[in-house]
Amino acid sequence: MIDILWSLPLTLLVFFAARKLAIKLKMPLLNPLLMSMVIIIPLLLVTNIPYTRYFAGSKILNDLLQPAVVALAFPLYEQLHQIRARWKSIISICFIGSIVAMTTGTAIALWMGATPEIAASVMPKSVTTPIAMATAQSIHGIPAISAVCVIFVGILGAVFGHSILNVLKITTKASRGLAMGTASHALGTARCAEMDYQEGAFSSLALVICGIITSLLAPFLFPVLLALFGH
Amino acid sequence: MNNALSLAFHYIRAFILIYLCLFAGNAISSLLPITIPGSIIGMLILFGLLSTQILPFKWVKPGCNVLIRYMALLFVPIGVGVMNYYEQLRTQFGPLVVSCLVSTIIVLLVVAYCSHYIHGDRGAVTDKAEKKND
Repeated sequence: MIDILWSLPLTLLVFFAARKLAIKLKMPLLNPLLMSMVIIIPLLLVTNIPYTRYFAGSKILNDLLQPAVVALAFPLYEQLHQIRARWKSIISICFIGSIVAMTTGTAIALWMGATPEIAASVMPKSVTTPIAMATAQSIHGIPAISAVCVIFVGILGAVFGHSILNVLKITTKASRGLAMGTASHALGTARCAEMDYQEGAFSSLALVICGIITSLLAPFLFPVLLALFGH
Repeated sequence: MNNALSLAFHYIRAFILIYLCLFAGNAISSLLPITIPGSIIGMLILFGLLSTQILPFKWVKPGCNVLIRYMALLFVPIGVGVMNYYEQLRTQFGPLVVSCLVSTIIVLLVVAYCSHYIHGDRGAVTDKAEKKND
């Protein structure tokens, strides 16, 4: 319990310092989450403090992830008129995106010789952490590895997503938001919301719909992919 | 002083409502035969309450905004947990990194182009465009 005294301030300090620096220097690679990991992990290793103690101290932040997912209802509500106008196309796009995300990730992992356990952990990588961990559990993956993949994918999207979309000349807010939300879940959404409110709303729309689709389809899709690769 | 009190009240009310939705979502999730996380159901509940105007959006706005703005911070504790899986990550490093990387780029491409193709160059829906679509 005493760990909260150093762990929480450390997390907050590192995160907000990185955030301030990232805004000031306008460098996407200085992603606050990435910077926090890069600073805190070596710090714990050098001081020989076990991760469990760090986590116990910062657990309150982790506990806020669930209400944060609930809070995503708000930007969704604010974009209600957008959803009403094109809900069919939005759901179809998210459906295609989720299937592509699950099949490509799992297939590439299996093709490169990953164990079924690892492939199952990769499968839900494009949805937000709480959903990904629950989904990984249901298809016998390792939830912690899924969390790592989720964060990796999220950072990829948050750091490079907008550059890639700019190169592709995708300028509409709907397309940018949907692509980021489908590919990079909450981290992509957080990045979109920083740039533009409407983009953030579409991104959270994709995040939510893809999360639901993925958690529903993964248990059926995974055995098919495993069979295809002869496991 | 009065202002600070009312501000605190607004935040507390928002958080209580968000947590109520979460608890309801968790309760429903435990009853369902398939695994849909309670937080997702909670979000759908809150969305339902807001869009049917049962819950005034002003009641949850402060809490929602603060949670969404600092969402990346909430991932830090799990993110640091990478250090515990060093061995597994090292042995499966190639497949993990390549599959995540390639798949993310493919998803970005597919979704961006699909959406661009379907929605065209239209920007956000304006009132006019909305009527046309209806």
